[in-house]
Amino acid sequence: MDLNIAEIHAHLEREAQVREKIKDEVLELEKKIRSMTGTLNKIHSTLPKDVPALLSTVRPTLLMCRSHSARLAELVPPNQFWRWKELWSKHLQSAVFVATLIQFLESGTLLSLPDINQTLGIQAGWADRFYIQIEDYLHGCRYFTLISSPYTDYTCVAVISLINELSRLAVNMVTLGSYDAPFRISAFTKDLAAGFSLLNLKNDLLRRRFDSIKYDLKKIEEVVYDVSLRNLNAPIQAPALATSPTQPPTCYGTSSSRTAQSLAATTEAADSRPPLEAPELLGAAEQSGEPQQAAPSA
Amino acid sequence: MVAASRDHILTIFKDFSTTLDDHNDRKERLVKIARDITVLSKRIIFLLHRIPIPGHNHGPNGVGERGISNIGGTDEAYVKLEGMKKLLQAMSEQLQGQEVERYSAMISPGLQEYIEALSFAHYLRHKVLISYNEVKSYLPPIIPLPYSDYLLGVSDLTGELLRWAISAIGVDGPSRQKATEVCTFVRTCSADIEALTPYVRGLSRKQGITTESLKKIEFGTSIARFAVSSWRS
Repeated sequence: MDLNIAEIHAHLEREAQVREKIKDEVLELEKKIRSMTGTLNKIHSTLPKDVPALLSTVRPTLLMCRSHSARLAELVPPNQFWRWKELWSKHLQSAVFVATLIQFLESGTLLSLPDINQTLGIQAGWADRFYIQIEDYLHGCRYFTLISSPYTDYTCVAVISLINELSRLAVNMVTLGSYDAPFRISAFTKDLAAGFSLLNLKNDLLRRRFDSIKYDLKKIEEVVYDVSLRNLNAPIQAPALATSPTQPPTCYGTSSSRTAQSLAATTEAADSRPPLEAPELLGAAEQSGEPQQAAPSA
Repeated sequence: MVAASRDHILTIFKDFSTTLDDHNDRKERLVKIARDITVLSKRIIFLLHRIPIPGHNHGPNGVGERGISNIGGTDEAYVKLEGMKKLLQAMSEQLQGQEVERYSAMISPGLQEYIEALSFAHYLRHKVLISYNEVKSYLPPIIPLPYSDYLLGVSDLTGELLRWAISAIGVDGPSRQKATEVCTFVRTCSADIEALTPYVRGLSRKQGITTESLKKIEFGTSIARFAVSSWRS
């Protein structure tokens, strides 16, 4: 083996070691994110008034992601962001989704990319090593909100995830008797869709995922239509919050929602177990809570 | 409140729009340049295949039937390879100030084809494998040469050498000896690259093709030897 090949071999071996280290760290990050998305799944069976309590169990885990961000920024050699980003991009999209979903549930607004970077402890100086790309942002917000950043691509992706998730939430909120949630979700997702229409998308993954938005909007519109048709919606006071802790939706008490009331009662019972403290226990606790919750939402 | 949130969202997206457009345009331009590089590289490879193999019947002026001089063949290829520096320069201008790795998917195919042509010309002239640093000296400094592209490009060389060796086998005399040389060279290349396959995606598939080519060259040379011995007896 000549010197040329030997040098290349040595270099590739060093790179392989870097890859292993990054992979290990990304795995830890993924564990945290999965525990959060698992817990956040419960929003579909949680009354709006109980959502803040649910969110408070997720928030500490989200902040714990900061240490992983810092370690990844250390591990990635300077100017090699694009060399390694595939290793974490999917998980970072989920993290963006989680952060934007929490933001929407709390305030009904879209979390901007700089804000997400702050939440995840990603510093501006890491732009050559570890950051959220605009595409990732847009993919994640498919579920709920939008993050603004100089890196448009990541952002877009996260936002699409947010919209997908919200269409599901609109249906489930009606099942739980929260009849005005779909209206707020509808207004918010329409704004997001209007934002997406400003982008000139190529025929790539982002375009294909963008195409899915219209089905989500349609689903939400149908929910809004059904609720309106049956006059179930109270006049909308503030379109900002989907889940304001101080203003529990008033529709639960109406006579037309007897089923929803009983559903709500069982759900509350299921949710009355003590709040989870240790984030590490979230995954296990969630599993034990699942059967109880499955019954009312079924 | 609603309007404010809508404006907030639209502002964010307008910002994204500019960034995404710039990225997509740059991608498009790089794909075009890389495609041009691929086409020209393929032409150089064909040109190298047209160089008459010693022992062929040449025309009156030492010019082969396809109009290329035996001696000047690789020279012409080198001139063309130098001529492609303009395209490589254009590529590096697009990459200026960018995160180059981001566009590697666009430039890699062109880069690999160029390396294939370069290594083929290099082999025909020097009878050795072009080194990583030698390839690098042909590229503008802005264009990074990933080890993977070097290895994948050089891996393609074996396919060209198969074609070259098979034509050489058809000619009696010293060129048949050359086919045997090629056989040894390809065998060494394949052995050297084998250890690197786990590190580079796509290399193991190319190694498989190299092994197939090697088998064909070996078969060709053995048949030739067998045929020669049977004619002579």
